[in-house]
Amino acid sequence: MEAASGVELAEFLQHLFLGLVQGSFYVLLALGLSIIFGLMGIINFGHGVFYMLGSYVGYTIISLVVAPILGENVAFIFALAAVPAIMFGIGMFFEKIIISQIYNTENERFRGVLITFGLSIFLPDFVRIIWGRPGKSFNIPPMFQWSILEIGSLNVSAYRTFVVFVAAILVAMIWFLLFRTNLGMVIRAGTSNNIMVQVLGINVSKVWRQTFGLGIALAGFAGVMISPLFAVDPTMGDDILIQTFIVVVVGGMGSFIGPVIGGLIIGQLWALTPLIGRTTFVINNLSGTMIGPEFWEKASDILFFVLMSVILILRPRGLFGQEGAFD
Amino acid sequence: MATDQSASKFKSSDFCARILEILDNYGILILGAFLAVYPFMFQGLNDLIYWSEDFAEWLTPTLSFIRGFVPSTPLMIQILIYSLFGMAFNILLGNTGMLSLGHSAYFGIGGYTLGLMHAWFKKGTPPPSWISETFAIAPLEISIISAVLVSALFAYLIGLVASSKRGVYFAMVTLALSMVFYYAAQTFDDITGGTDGLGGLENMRLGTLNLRVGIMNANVTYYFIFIMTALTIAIVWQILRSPFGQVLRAVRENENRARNCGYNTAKVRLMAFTLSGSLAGLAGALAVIYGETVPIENIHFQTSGQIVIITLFGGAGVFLGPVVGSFIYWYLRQLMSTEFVKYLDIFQYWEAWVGGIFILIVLFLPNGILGTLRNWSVEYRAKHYMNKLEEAKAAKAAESQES
Repeated sequence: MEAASGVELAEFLQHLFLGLVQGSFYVLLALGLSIIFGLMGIINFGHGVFYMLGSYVGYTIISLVVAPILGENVAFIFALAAVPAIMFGIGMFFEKIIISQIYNTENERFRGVLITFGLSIFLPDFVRIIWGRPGKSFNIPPMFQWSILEIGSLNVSAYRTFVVFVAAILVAMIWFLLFRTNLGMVIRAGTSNNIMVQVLGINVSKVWRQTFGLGIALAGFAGVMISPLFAVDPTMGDDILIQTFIVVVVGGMGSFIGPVIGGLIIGQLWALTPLIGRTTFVINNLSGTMIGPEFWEKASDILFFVLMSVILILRPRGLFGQEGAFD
Repeated sequence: MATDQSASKFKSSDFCARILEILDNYGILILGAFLAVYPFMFQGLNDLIYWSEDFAEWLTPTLSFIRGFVPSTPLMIQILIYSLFGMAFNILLGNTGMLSLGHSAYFGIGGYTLGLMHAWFKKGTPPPSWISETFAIAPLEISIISAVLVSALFAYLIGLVASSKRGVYFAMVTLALSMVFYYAAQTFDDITGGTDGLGGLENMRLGTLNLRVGIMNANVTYYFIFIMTALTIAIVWQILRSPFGQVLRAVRENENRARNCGYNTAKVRLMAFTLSGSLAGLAGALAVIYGETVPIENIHFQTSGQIVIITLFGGAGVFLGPVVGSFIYWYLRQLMSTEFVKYLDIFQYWEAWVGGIFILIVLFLPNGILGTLRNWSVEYRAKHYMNKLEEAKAAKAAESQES
């Protein structure tokens, strides 16, 4: 790949690292979305706003509750544990009160999409009512305010490394849950053949509730983790939702490995696309055209959607998805 | 004596049934007539307020309060534009059963086409003189027609790819493809104005009638948009009533069966998609004419979401659903953000209300507000006429007994 030619090695590695960090967030979000879709057949358009809600819940826990008493570091760690638990409960609550109303009705899947879409309109303003319109600022907890490695443009910050590390642990935990526990077995069976699972006498509604809660918990967790790095405001879920869709479509809906690989790929795509505009090839041959250097700076969004469209058209199940997931 | 009482009791429900029947059969015309005279009514209210300021000051506060709840003419223009957009969208959703989450693409493309034609002819490199001369004769007509044609073209192209997909899959594809247009508009911002949108489109001239339309000339603009919308809706009505419309609904109900009856369902879906997209482009063009800019939000997913909400508020299964939905959406939005907010600050967050109401409608009123009203109306009339039939039978039996 010509990526390294007009670009310094350090810069390239830095972008690679940032892509890994971004990919970690995508993985967490996409896993939740994929598990919910795989088992329940519902495309959760509310995933972005629950991500945002997790961020706000984390902010509240950290700044208002724990930090004054125990200090920012402990507060942050506490929030990392508390937010997923709270979001798990919130997810189960929504599933029970709202989403379960449409089970076994006509147009079930459509109504699921529409209801979660309605949530995505309702929650941001609801958050504004409670927390106010302006965003909240968040600092990187003091224990992470250092860099592991600093060479030229390469700056491997401690917090970002922590993010990757935690995401990896979480992925491992989800893997363990799905492939080594009874609940995971039921989820996998339900993803594969929902009716059979019910015929076998398993309490599907409870599993569905917990699965939805799990997906929301993952989204909320990603929200807390990203707050020190990016702005926390009610609209932060909008872009990320669409990007998560791209990840899940590319990686494959309903699978485990799909979102993981897809998230990492899309993360790298996000990070490396701006570099394309700085390679000597583009600068020499394509300057002044529509796909010159300025285009590549902002091109990652277009490329995401082009990639998503191509996959939807040529291989709709995604790289690792199940056959016929969309029927 | 007894029969007199029952005769008067019957009269009220009889009356109700008659009214409902008239509404059901002639509702469109009644609505059209109402909308046709609306600017005069609103102007009348304004004039009344001015008069009362001079001659009956005690009346002014009450009248002003009432005016707060009456939609203004510009708001009605907005409602009309989105009614048209909704009708176009409903060709696909209510009639062919395809939920497109990317309809903002055509709305935006129509708007940008109109805007770019005017912007092109105003600044930058001058076009060849025969083009600019023709354009100068009838700028608005030419740009509207171009907007429709260009959005039809894009709808056709996207339809080639997307219209063979089904269900939620179709929704995702349309969503993805429409966002390509959004990010293209954002990236190539020297053409499209990027996130600032395309401005400088004030006061466009309607060549054939030599009128200027835009925000400044609210009444003229209202009638222009009203006539365009009414004509287009009439055309849509005819199309949906035609055999082609029947085939669309057949495809919605059971595509396999429609195909077995010999219809080329792929072609039908593509045609419906193209038609829907081109009319959405017309709505987008009208929105730009009224708003005098092309905001980039017009091509963003949030506009697609808006039209889904509007259509479902009114009801996708009823012809006038999107019109009613558009009215409800914009009226409530305006009401909450301008009026209610004076009393309770929480109403500035009208989106929370819209989202909540939308969820409730999806859960409990899947036929939408107009759809549910329509169903009640039909049920009521059916029961009423059944009762009448029973009464007539009983009366006849009593008569034959007596004789």
